[in-house]
Amino acid sequence: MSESTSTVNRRASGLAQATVFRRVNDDVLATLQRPGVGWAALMAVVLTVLGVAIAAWVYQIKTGLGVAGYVPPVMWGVYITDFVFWVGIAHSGTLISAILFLFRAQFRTAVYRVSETMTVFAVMTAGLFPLIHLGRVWYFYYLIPYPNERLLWPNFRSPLLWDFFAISTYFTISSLFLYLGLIPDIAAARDRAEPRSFRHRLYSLLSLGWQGTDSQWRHYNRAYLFMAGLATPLVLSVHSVVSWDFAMAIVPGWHSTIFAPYFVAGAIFSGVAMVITLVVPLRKAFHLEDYIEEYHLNNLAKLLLLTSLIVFYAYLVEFFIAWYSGSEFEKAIFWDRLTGKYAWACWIMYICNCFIPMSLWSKRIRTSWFWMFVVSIFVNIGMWFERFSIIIQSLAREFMPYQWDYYSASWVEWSITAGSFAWFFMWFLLFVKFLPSMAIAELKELLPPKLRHQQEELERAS
Amino acid sequence: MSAELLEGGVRGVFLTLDEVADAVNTLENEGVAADDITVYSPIPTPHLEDAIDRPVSPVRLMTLIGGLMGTLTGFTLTLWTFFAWGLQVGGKSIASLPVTVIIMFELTVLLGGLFTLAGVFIFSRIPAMSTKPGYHPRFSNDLFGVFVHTEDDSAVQRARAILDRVGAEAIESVT
Repeated sequence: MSESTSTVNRRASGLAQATVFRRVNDDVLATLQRPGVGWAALMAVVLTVLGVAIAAWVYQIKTGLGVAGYVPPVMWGVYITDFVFWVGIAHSGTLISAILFLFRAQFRTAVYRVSETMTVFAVMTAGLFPLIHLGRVWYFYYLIPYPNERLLWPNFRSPLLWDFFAISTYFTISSLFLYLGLIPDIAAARDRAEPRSFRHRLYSLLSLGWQGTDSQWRHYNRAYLFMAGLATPLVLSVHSVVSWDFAMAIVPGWHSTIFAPYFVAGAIFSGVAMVITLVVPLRKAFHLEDYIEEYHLNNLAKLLLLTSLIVFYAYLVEFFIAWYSGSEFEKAIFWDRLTGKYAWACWIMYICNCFIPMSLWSKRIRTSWFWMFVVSIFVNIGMWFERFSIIIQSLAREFMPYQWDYYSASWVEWSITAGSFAWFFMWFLLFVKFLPSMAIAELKELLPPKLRHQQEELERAS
Repeated sequence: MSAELLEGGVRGVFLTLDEVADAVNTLENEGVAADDITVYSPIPTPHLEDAIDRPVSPVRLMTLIGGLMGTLTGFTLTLWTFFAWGLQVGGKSIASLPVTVIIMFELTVLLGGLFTLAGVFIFSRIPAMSTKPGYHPRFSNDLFGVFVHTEDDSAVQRARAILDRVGAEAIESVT
């Protein structure tokens, strides 16, 4: 701990020598300059993929859910896999922004804005899948807790309704937390923008007239602390509730008390991987090398390694419990997971989530931008297949052998899955060009306090 | 900040935190009311909070009220819906308390968060249509400001003298 604190101090004083507050504003707000060709090309690709996905969804709504690859008993397929995957991605954003804030882990400062935005956009993506999976999307309002014409309320005993509350609360709180942190930085962008320009008007509106007075900071600091305090148990609860969608059912491979912690660890694991996937190109594209350093990457990698070990342990415990329970169905389902028709998905999951992250014991890999990007992609793939394995393989091999069938996703499902990534990246690309992707005020807080004698030294040096 | 704050006054611009703290303490020692002083800072630093002694933010009360309202709403909503259609299944009780806890928890966090944000808005007086005349765009960048709210000529002269004495980089009268 003392080593990391001294590293932070060394970094902070290094940054102080090289820069003053103004440079932090200059560097972070430079990311908001007019988009370049690379950004436009990426956006074009993303919009094309999204267009195909929208067309596929329209086709599905028009034709019926039969165009998806569902075969009884597998009536939850890739859409639910995508839903759980994106909720999982959303997870580590609040972990990094809220829990690490409460623990005063300073490495979060450089990356938490990206992770918070990732959270909000990932929940926006996840939220689409229950609608898509419904088929008749216009009946979505059945989930909203109000009585129907026969004065019947939704069943609060259903985990699906818990999920509605958990996800909508998570989305609301994450969005508010993100916006609260953004207000002072948007004010900085407002003060930099050309008066009466579109951006000036936009930032004036979004910054709500923020001026950074002592009174405003006092209320802001308190609110930020309490929001972090409220968001912290939410991190643990959301994916626990998502896991109960499965664990409350008696389906072999699902009905397990380990599911809540197992899902939470997996979600943090996949979320940290996605943060790395986003931060590595962002740092390079916007020349943020002075702000996002090997120190940050190394800490994210350690978090990735820790959660990988927890997930690995959970995989092993699942097998042990299946054997120890004495239940023939449990034993059969886990044996089938390793050797059956879906073994390929299961082995992709083990290789990507358990074996490849073991490379992170090496500090050379943990501090290599290229290798960390590669490892994070593998983890993203592995975590998608984890959800695929749990959902589809368990359903395809339920209790009665005559029911067993083989589900494979249709082109409609694959198009919509690809579209979900396009939807997520579209929002992220818009975000990096319209809002500060690093926390300006908090980055300045990392610098040593701006005191009179230091100012004199800086002036002498310059 | 009192509701009757004057928009005019004297603005001192500072480069460093200790100068800001000096300025606020000197102004208060020389009889300027704490409510008539506004400090502008680009960072939410605890150094500044320590230097200028102000009461604890009442936002925490808003969080508490919101949280408690959420807990109560979750409890009553779930229990009431159980009894509104009291269907007993398998001899189990009509009301299921573990389920109530989940909804209570989610609504506690939801309303607690919403009330917290509302608290910031109410007590920080945002949204505001525009920034106050005492504000300068560089206060979100690299400078600190101390603004004394007064329109009385003698008070203006006194504030200017104090700000000059404590080392303000620039002193401007704002009307």
